[in-house]
Amino acid sequence: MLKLFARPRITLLLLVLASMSLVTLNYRGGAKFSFVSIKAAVRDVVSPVRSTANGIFRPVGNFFTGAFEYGSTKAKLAQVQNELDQLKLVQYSQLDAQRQLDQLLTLSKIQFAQGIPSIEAQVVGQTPTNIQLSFELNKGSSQGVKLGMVVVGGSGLAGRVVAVSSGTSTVLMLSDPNFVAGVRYGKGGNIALATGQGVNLPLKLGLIDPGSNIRVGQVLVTSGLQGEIYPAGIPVGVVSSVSNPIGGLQEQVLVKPLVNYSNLQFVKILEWAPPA
Amino acid sequence: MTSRLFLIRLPLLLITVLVVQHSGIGDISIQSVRPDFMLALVCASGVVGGREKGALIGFLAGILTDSFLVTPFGFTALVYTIVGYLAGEMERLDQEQNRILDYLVVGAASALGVSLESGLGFLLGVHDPLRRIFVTELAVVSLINLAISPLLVFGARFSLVPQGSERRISSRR
Repeated sequence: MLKLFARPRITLLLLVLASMSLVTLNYRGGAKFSFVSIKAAVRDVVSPVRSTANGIFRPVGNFFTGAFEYGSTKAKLAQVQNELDQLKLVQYSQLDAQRQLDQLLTLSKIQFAQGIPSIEAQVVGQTPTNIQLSFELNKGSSQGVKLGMVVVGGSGLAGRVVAVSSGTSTVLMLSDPNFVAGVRYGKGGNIALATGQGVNLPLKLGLIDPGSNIRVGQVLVTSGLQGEIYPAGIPVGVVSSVSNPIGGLQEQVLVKPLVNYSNLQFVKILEWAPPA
Repeated sequence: MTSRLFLIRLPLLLITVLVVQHSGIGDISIQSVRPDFMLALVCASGVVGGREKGALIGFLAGILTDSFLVTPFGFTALVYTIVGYLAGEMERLDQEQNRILDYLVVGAASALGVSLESGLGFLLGVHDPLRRIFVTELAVVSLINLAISPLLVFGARFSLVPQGSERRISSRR
């Protein structure tokens, strides 16, 4: 009996109860027991130290990442070089197409293209855990950033703001397993659901009936349907593989996100709220 | 060691590991899996300090980690508390200090931590234990934590063990 109530066990019990209470308050406490301010305070304290440490440790991290992923990095470099050569060839021919596209976008009523007010921000670090794939920006609530705002990178959708402190904000990446977005593809604007699968893994596309006209290389854009948290027309990714398993109820489609998180430095936070 | 030194060294160690985790080193990914230095520290603290200190440091480390995640506040604290306590079960082994065994326990406890994180995450709807990279995550995190365990066991010993003493601070039960 004495051993059952030994001090370490009582300590464990108390700490487990404390943790479970915190988790329960998260789910049931509502606004009264919000931990957002506590999290924000801790972030604000640690952020300056982290920024300094980032400058020191980033080269070390890059060295190890390069060492572990040398083969794939070399292959990617060759691929990028090849793509660059091809892009140079088509650059001039696309100038006219770009002019036409600009005119069309001005005429059409695509929300994204009409120019949603935005806040420019710099990526100050990634959240290095395996539970949640996110990155941090140097703009927070004091600059007008709010929860749920959409973040776009150089070439497309980068994520959604999921946490805000006074000076920083956290953005959930497309590759996070909790990321879900309605997308459109093809000439008919068919609807599908893109879901994240993990670090460096392509997005998975759901709700694709067998025999649909989806092809490798097609660009997906956000659908912007009612209730959708992203505005319509933001490029999300490119279809990288399509397979139709025998007896499958839907096609297995993988999508490579357009945004490259490894070299993402500057983003725009769209001051956009989903329609009620 | 005076209690004052303990109060300075432990928070310093926790903040240092947190900063390292959130700096460039924490961004290193092997097979799309990132290391978990905080989990390694909790395991090392349990191994060095015993069940009670392991659980307490696990709770504090978890609260700090939770501050940077969108997952429910207290989720990581719960996982780390249990892992710290279980790693501290080492104190029950009636034997003199064996550093190799300490390092192995850090690796094994890390594997347990990843599994527990996935299992509890599944129950709370924030994690999928059957996702594609779970096995890779388990292997990579355990091996990295095993590799860095000498450093973190040293750090935990520096923070928790009285100077000049080579024995674990916990009493054997």
